[in-house]
Amino acid sequence: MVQNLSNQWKSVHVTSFAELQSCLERTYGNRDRARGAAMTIAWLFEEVGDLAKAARRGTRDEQLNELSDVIAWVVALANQLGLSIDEALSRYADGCPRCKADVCVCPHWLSLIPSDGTAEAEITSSPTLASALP
Amino acid sequence: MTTFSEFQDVIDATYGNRDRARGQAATVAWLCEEVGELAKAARKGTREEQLHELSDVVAWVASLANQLDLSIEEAITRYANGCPRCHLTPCKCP
Repeated sequence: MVQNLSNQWKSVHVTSFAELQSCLERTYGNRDRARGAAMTIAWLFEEVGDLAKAARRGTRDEQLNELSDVIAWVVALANQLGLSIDEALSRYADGCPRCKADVCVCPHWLSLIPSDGTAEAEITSSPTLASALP
Repeated sequence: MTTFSEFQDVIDATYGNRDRARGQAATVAWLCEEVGELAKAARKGTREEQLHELSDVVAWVASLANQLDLSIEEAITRYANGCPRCHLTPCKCP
């Protein structure tokens, strides 16, 4: 079903990730699936680059514009993978998923390392590296 | 149902001071790294790994939005009424 919603501009207000997933599924779902996940990932990277540039030297409107594009492509990818963003974000609902504190207290530079655990194990088992910990 | 503003508040409470101290360039670098991990999980990860990387990407986007003092809810109004370019649902852009 094709609907021209331009005359309802500003009448629909999306406030949650679940609503946005449904909304973008209707607008782009079939098209995005036809192009495939690899194309969605390529677009997502391009938009992250645009957001990085806007963050550095864009106007507030340009930043909002690029922020919306990044979110839209992340949501498009979640839709293609059949993932619920609400389910994914439950990891962050009770504080930091790594240290479990409400206000993250992960060692400062350990928090710059991916959270698969292997890097921490390597660092804390190395006397040289561990001595550099704050 | 997680609202955009609730999630931005949670991320600000958990990481706000720390992320601001490291600065925006570090946040952008982290975001790029996490998008790379999501790309890998999309290609060959389990569903659990995909959910994990998806949450990290959304969390870093929210952190960047917080640092720039932007509301995701305000930003996403562009997409709330169909395609922002052709204004149709579904999109009919060439």
